[in-house]
Amino acid sequence: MLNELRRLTDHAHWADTVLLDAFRAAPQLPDEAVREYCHVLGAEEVWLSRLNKGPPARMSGPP
Amino acid sequence: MAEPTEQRTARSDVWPTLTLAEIEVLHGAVHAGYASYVAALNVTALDQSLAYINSAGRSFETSVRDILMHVALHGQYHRGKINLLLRQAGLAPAPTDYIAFVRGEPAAVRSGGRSVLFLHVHVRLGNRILAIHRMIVAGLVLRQPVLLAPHVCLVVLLATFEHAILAGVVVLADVFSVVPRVRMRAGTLLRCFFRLRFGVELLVARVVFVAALVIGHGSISVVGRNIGSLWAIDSYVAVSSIATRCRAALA
Repeated sequence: MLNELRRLTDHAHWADTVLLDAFRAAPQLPDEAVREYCHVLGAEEVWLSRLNKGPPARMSGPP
Repeated sequence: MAEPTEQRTARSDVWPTLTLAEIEVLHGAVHAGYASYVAALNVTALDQSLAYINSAGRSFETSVRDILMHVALHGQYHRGKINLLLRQAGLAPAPTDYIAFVRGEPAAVRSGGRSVLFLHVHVRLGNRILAIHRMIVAGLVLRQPVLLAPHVCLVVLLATFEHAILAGVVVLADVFSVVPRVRMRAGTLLRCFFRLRFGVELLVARVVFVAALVIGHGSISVVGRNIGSLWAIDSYVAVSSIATRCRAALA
């Protein structure tokens, strides 16, 4: 399960990059698309901060 | 109820308003953060529960396992919406299918009419010549990569520099795979071409293809706007029909 979750995390990175590349290439972007993209990143950031504040990230060595 | 471990998350935190430059920065920071987080994670920690307050102010406890799963699924839901919005704005969507990530290549290229339509959506309005070339290339690559390539790819090669490399690759691949048969049946190939060009089959194929696009994509107006002209459809159908006939004649 850990490896699968790592894989999904890698996918999220790849997918966000794919969309960002499309944004860079677009001559003009619809505001709604940018808003949705910001929401994806914003939510990822909020969850990451929750993860980093929680016990697992602070653990060192085997729990 | 879990003890809060952080201040209430403001709604704006999950719906931030960012410029493209800020997006670039956040994108880098967030994914670097996840990479180091999951690298340090161990199996036992997956079942640890984290207490937090959501954007509506309610307290929850969720396992690391479920949070990571949620982040993955939540992202995909919104990426789908983003691609719909890009498509509706006449821009090229950027598919983010997991299987494409696994394969290491875009998942957009599929067999059938819709993939051709998809390729066409990549083309900006007004650039119909390029659209036609792309459809021909799509027809070759996706549907009939064998018999027509030397003939049609030559047109593409001459007409569009952008596709020269792709067309060249297809031509080479096809020449190497079918040269003996093409040489033997060159007359049949030509007869098929001329018969189809003015025959009823092209009309039937065209009706079927348009119907497939309408059924497959849901809107004739979208098809009409994006395809631009039936000429483009004809090009595709001509390629498709000729290939079918040639394949039958040579079988």
